[in-house]
Amino acid sequence: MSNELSNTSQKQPLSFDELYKEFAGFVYNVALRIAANATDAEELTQEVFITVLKKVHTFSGLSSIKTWLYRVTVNTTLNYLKKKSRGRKKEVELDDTIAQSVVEYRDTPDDEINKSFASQKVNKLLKSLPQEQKVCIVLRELEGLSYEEISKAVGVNINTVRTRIRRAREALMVANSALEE
Amino acid sequence: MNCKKIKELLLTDYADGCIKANDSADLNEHLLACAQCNAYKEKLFSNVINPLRVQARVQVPSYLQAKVRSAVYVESSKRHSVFSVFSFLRGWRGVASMCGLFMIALILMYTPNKKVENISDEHINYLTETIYGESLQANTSESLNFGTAVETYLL
Repeated sequence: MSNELSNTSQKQPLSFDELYKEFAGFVYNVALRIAANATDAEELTQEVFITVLKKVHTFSGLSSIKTWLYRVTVNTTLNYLKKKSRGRKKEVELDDTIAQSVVEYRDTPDDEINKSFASQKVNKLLKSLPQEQKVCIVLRELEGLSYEEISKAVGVNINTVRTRIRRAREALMVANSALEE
Repeated sequence: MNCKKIKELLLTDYADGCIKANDSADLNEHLLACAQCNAYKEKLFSNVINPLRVQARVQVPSYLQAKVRSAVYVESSKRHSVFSVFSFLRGWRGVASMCGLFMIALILMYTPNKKVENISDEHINYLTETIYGESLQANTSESLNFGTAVETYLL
């Protein structure tokens, strides 16, 4: 397969394998955190890379590939969640995926247990947020994007991003207090 | 600076490391004096911001690459088989082709039909003899009986 994407910063074509190796990590994680479901995250990763294939000719080159891919990932995830029906079959939930995956990352058994628990708590907190706030807080805290990068990825004004992040953190404070009670 | 403004700064610019120097000085001064805002700041970072930021990335399943590659390949094959016949019509060629077809359709629709001209009397007579068995010229002095007399219908 000779699907290629031009890397505008380096002016060299990228093969599918290079593209996947470079960007699959964040595409999968962003989809996973927003959709909160591992099966959906896999399907969404697939959809994003198919979209990359379809829309590669529309790439303007004005923003970096990563910002563009964040935008495609966010839009694909939100559209997917809108279409998804309630009566879907039982799928692997995020808690199990995170718990197992974090265990694979860690060395110390005590750390593994603690981090797994913390991850599950974070997942519960994120689930309490509205979609638009969740997207912004995931991109900010988990992916480390700046307000400007989030603004480009989500397609809203930078002040809107700031407001959504503020409200998300306020809501997480309230949700955390509720969990601790 | 009041507590509401301090909380807003803590939740946004201060948490993201982009607070302005003036605001930073005012915030620090307020935190030294206000135990409530200080407690809020500690709780914000320990319960919300730090737990999110130390989250490790979830490992992408190893089988996913082959699955995605296969899906991309299938999609790519579909696009090539459906559109390969019409691939030359993309872009300006497609637009030019459609304009050309439209113009041809317009010309065909609005071209007036040519009238039949210069039909001689001989042609008319021939047709009359053929259809009715009588010459139109031979009977010009008499009215032709085509069996349409009123008497024929009435009687």
